[in-house]
Amino acid sequence: MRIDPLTPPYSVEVQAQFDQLPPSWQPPFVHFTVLARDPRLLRAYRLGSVAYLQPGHLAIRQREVFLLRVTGRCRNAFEWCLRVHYFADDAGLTEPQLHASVYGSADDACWKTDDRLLIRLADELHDTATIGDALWAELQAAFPEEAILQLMLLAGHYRTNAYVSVGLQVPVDPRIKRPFPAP
Amino acid sequence: MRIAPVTAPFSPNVQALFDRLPASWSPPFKLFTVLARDERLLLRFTGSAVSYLEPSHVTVRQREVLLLRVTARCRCAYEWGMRVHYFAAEAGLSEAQVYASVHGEADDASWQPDDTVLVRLADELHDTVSISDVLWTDLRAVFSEEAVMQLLLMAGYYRTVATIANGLRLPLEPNVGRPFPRKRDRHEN
Repeated sequence: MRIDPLTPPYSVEVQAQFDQLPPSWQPPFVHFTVLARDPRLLRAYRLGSVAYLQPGHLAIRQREVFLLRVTGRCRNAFEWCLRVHYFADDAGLTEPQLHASVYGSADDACWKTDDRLLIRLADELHDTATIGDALWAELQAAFPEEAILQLMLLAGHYRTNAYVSVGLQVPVDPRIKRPFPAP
Repeated sequence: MRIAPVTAPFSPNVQALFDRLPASWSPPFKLFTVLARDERLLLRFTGSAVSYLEPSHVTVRQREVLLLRVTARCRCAYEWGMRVHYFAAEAGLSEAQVYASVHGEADDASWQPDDTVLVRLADELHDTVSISDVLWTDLRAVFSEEAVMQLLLMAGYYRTVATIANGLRLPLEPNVGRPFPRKRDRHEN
């Protein structure tokens, strides 16, 4: 890893931020402990996630299909593996779908019909940083406007996650049981 | 634009945020008023910016060279033009450098030596979502570890800005927006 993360004991300010994380995320993930070198960076980064709004505008299935594709396209093994570990079962994702999230395409036979639009959105944002008219029309037919806003912010936040995780070569968390798939 | 923004009167939380923004950013940008359709989205989005930390790990010049390149590579004239309007003079960016942020390369003759590594960082993140060993070595020769992390978060944040602005077809803001420069033919240089 290219920058050393903080190790316990943490400052009062950093510990207070870590105490806000869910118990199942303890001890804190390394992308958090490295950003905590400046607690302002950690705080801003965490605020940027709109993945867990209650209530949100997305079903967990929609969120996870989308974020596995966003992280998969970024080859962000650190975050992809965490998402699979924590959410793949709740999202009802199958083995072929997990593999396809990294190496497949939107028309892969394993996807459910409603998944494909989310894969295409992740792909178009990854490839072009915009949304074409055809995709926009389909998005508008399928999602409320607030859900589309949430999806766009999620795509951006998890791209930011990749800049940190891949850019700093954060290792895959040893707690996860399923490795990043091979091609 | 593809989603209608919220108009005044705003909710108390949204108005309180707008009251904290610099006076020169008023009336609030459509980037903000469209996210205000769910104020949680707006407040989290604005709270996640690390561009204006005081004190900062990077200079205004360093920040703006990176962000003009990040927004230009995303073809986001909406944000690029406002950065030029508000910050290019303070950052000491020449017209040639502003032009090169859109149409030039990292080795463009207009850049100062210290600018180049920031253009390369924006380009590598845009093109590969990673940082090569060569670039990493060059970054660490110039920047502290905290500065590098601030740069990475900024690069990601302004990609998010571009996603919203491009994805929703936000029109340039009146008075402070500015389109990309037209690409000149080689013989015009």
